[in-house]
Amino acid sequence: MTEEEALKTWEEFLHGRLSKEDERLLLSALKSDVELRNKVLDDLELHRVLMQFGVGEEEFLNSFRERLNAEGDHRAITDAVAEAISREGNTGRGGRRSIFRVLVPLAAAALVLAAVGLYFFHGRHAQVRPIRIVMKTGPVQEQGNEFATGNDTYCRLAFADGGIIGMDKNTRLAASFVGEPAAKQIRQDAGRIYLDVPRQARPMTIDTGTFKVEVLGTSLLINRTGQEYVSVLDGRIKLMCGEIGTYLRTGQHAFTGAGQPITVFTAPLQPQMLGWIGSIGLEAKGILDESESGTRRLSAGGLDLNNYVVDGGLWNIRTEGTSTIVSQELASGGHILFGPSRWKKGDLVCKVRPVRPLAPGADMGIGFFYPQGGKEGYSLTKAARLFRQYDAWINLRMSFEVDEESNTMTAHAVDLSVEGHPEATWSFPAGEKWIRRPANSVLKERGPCRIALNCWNCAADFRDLRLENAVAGDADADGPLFAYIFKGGKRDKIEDVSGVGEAVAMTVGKSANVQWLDDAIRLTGPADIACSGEMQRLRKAWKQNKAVTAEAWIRANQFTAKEDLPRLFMRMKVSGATLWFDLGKEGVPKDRFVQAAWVCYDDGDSFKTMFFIHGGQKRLERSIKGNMSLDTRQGPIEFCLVPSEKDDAPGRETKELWQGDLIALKIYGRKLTPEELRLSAEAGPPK
Amino acid sequence: MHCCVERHIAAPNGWYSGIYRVICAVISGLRHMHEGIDRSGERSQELLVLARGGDKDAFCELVKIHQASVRAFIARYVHDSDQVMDLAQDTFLAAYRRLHQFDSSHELFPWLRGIARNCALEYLRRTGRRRRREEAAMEESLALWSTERLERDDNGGMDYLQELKNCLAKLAESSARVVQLRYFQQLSVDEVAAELGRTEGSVRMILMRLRQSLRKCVEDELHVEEAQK
Repeated sequence: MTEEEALKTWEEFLHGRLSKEDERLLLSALKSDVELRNKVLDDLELHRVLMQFGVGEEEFLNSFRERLNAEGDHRAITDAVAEAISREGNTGRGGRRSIFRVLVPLAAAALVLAAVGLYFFHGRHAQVRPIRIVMKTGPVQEQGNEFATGNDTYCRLAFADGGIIGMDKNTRLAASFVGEPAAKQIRQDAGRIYLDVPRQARPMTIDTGTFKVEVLGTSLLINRTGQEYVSVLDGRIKLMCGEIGTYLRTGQHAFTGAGQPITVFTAPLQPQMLGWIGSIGLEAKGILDESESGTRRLSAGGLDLNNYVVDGGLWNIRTEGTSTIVSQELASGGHILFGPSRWKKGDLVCKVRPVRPLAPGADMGIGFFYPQGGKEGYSLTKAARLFRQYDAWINLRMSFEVDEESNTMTAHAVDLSVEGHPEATWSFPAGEKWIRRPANSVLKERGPCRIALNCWNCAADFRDLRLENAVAGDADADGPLFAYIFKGGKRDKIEDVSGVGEAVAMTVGKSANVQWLDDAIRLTGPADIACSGEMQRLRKAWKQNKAVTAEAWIRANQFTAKEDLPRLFMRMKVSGATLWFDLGKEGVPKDRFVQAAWVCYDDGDSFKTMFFIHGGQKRLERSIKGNMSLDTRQGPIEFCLVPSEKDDAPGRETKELWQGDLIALKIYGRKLTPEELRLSAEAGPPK
Repeated sequence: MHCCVERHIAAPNGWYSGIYRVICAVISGLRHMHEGIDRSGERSQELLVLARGGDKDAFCELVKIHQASVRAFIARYVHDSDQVMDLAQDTFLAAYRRLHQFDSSHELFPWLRGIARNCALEYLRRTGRRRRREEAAMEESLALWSTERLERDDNGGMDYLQELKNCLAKLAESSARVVQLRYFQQLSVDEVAAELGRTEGSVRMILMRLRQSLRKCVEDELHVEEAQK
């Protein structure tokens, strides 16, 4: 084929007029003749560019704007969360654990999508607000850099270059900025504030009228309600009262009045002093820990996270049973929900509504994010779009599961329904699953995942956004590591229904002393109901968290009066060290369901226990004799209910065995709080 | 009638003038667009500042200025027009997110071009395997060669579209009409032939020669620009 013939043939190919045989000949010629090939490729490039003239600019721009507004937000969510969580792996755990410091990165990560509203431009130069509201629970009066909360409103402010102020209700303050770099000056007129500021070039001052505080980098509490005082949570401050000055360090408090000397004392921070900060989300420390960056703080206009500007948006924290859920409202109308980390399965329940019913971007999905980087997600694009024509809430329930062993994430039992439109429902075909396998990684090498729900171009009703039946995956889990429900059994084996990792069943050692009921197992004597295998997860959790909680649902037939003897209920043993769990003398009416919980932990000096019924503490904290540290004890953990063994080990108070009906037992690898126990009690025994 | 072409050819009369006006409008638009870039360096800086602050409208203004060039760059290597559109949008989205990384003392287009190159390369590599399985041998080979070309592409900040625009402005009237029908109106070759009262074969030959002359012109323009640098 000559060059001229080849070019003629090429022209026919370009316009779809070439036979297969001629195409083969042309290809052969192009492969053998580099010069010809280059000519053809030059021509092809020009042809393609010319073809672009047929594409309208408006069409392109409209389409791009749509993506910028819609998909841009979505990507920002996923990237920001992945980035925030990926930094967890690099976070040292030994540093100071300021609550605010923990909060900042998560808030910032979530705020990524809240986009751009608080930037203001003056002339050609963008001016970033030096202080702004990043979270509030209600209306906050705001005028320039002056802020005031009302009777039932809490608020959190963030400085553009790092640092946060939490405002209690009925608090009023004004911020000003002097010089370059700016020295921050806060005038606190009323109420209570909580500051967490990074180390900075120039001291920040807080003036209450009575005294003046200078800080370079610390967290502290300043109270102007009633007795005025300053408490230093971390770091060092300079306190001035008139001409008198002193320095305060971590754990020190000072109070004073006009013209009075400064009184300094050292004491632990009392709960009533800090309790209010839960209202600005600080109680979710456990969750927020996981997103801590360790080094990055809020910067100009928010946190510049993964190339996105962080700004705006409000977030919510809510406790569901024993779990806390953090969610972030997005400026786009979307929503992002952070479940506790390391949940491996559960039901995601939410309610969304397309912001723009006919917009192609109305969508939602669930994502899994990993500390070591990477993310996988399910998009519910098609399903969500089925109902775009309805201007109504769409209810979604989706069961999901992450299986590290098979390296899969599976979604099943997806149900969608449109409120007010019974005909509009969609369900996953029975037995069908969506299975995802990460393309380039192995799940178990990534570390435990964290779940986040992304909704973009959708409004989400926060009240209907939750995770149900969620099961955690390892020792760091919030949920139970082991769970046993004693009902309707006949055999001597009780399965572990926690769904967490490898199941460890319990077996009844003395069948003659038990009787199976419809809803429980009745214990009439020493039963020796013991774990049949090694409780690896508990060992790991205990070593890590230095704490364990056992929660039992029981119906006693003995201890009805306070004068009753304590009764031995449970025993935990490791390499000769034994913990005895007894109950009795609580004065609980007979035949009543009772949730009893033992919380054991190592406070650094010794092991201690607390006992709760229905979330109420029934026994004061007390030390346990003996060494239960798992750092030195390597044997298997033996867990036994109503043991027949009757030695006189230290810490044991009774030789009498408990008798009654046992309904359920859950074992956690951490300290459950009284509030968690109370909520669990209110929820009733597991079904 | 004021048009960039009128310096080279007289304005036609009758039915011809309608098409002529379309070409003039397109070419004039292209010229204006690029002159706009030159003229509005200051404006671009303003838009950049605003866009960096998160102003999406300002960023869309920048997109409007550069979208044709970015699309043209991607189109040189990616065959599918829809993909070109998507990749150009990917390019701008990526640029929006990395805007703070951009050194505003430099021109924006070369930076965008670099992002576009990466987007196109990623796309070509990603789809390369599938192509080998699914597509015809010729398409597969062209995609492979295009990928190789793009990988070698080191044409700095050269704006292919800018040079092409200059060359289009020099086209003779009859040639401009063929280009307009085939590429601007996206008519097929047989439709163009019917419109012009010619055979398909002759239209294909005209198109081939047109592109040859345009290509030569673009190369010359690029060489001149390079020499001037």
